[in-house]
Amino acid sequence: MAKKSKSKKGAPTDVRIKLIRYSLYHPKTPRPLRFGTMRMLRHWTIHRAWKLYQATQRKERGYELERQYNKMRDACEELRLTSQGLYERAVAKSIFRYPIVEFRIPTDTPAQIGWNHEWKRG
Amino acid sequence: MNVSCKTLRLGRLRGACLNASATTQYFFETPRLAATVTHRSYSSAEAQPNPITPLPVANPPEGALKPIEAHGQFPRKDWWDIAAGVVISRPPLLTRDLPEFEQSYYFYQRRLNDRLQLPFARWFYFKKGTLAEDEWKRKQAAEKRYQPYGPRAWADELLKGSTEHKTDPLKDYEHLVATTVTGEEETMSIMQARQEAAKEAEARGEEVEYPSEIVEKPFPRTTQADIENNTKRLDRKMSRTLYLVVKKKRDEHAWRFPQSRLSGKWEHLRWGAQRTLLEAAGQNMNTWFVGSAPIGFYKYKYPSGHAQNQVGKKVFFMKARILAGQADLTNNKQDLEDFQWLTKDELKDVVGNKYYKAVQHMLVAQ
Repeated sequence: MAKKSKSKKGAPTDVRIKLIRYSLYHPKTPRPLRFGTMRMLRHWTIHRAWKLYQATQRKERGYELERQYNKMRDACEELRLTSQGLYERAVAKSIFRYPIVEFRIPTDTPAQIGWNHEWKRG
Repeated sequence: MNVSCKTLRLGRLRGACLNASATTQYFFETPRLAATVTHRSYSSAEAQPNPITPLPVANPPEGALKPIEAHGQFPRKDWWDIAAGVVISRPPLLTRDLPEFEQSYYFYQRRLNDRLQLPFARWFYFKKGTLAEDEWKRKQAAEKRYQPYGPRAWADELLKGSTEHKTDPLKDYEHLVATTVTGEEETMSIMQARQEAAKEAEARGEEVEYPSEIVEKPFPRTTQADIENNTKRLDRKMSRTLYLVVKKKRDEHAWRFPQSRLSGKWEHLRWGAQRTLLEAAGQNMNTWFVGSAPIGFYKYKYPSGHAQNQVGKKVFFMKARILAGQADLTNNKQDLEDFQWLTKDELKDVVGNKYYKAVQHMLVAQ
């Protein structure tokens, strides 16, 4: 097809069309994974191990959150039994909820200045 | 007048106090629920009166004395000191370090992906005969990558004991920069040559302008503080959460989170925590307190003879984060002499076992 259009108009085919043809009619398409028995077994084992690992991670994270929550609840209860006034002020809903602009999400590589140690209160 | 008042009081208290000697002193006795109902530690339990913030009494009868004074002993014998502690953390700056298992799993998946992909369309990205194409070819030849199209395409797995996945270009950032197809390598060598030329010219005494660095390489994940294991610096262990612990001038139980007793009648936990941090670590820290509720507590009894009336101390920990700055213990008001920024694991060895057990569950592992 590519040859036809070229010979007719004498202009090269559009790159986008070329790319589509490349991905559709490339002699190496499709490239199925053909596994032997032992290889398939290995693959299955790796897959199961990965699923198990992920489940463990999820569970651990869940337990950690639960422990933190329990700790917080116990502290609040202890505070309530110790001093009602302090407790009421501790669990009161705060009105001032604003985003913290200095927050950064974790990155793969650090910033040039790893940490601003020389920060001074204005 | 007097009689009518008395009957009113009696009516309100439903005859709970029937001692008729009210003419001299009126004893206000709250109906003690605890005497009839068995004591329970959960939410239906009665709040314990505290010297700092006394229990709000609903409608105290006229002329009655305050409950604490009425008990005839002040201060009470069995109250606890309340202190606010600050768990100030530096959140992780970097993504977590991948464990060995994950590293090799991702490597395995990348290789499988290579086997499924079509070959790289070089003719699309590079024009024939350009420098860029030459450089790409050179890099491909130098890299000795796994070839997913050749006769040995099936050999995509790592052999036992191989460490190939650890020097994988997609993991090692420095290597990645040096071998990307965008030509940083070439540019960097040119820049290096220019800088050397500038140095030589300067040595000869000519005035030169140093060429600026164009290519910025990513910075390594381990810093100088990591190598020195400098626990005072905040750019150490950047993929973990660090917690501030301070050392008091004493031999036992010296290391712990900053804490101090609530002062005054009206200070609540959050204010107390903010004041504690200010007194302990100075003002040059940009901090954010997460909430007003405590995230954990630690209570201990005083040794006998330590205090006259207090049983012990209850420390309620408040959560905070540091965003910039550094702790500074000069002129601190809490008799502190040292501080450290530690991860959860390191904390265990520094604060004692008992303290660690009390606080471990409110800290995050990573």
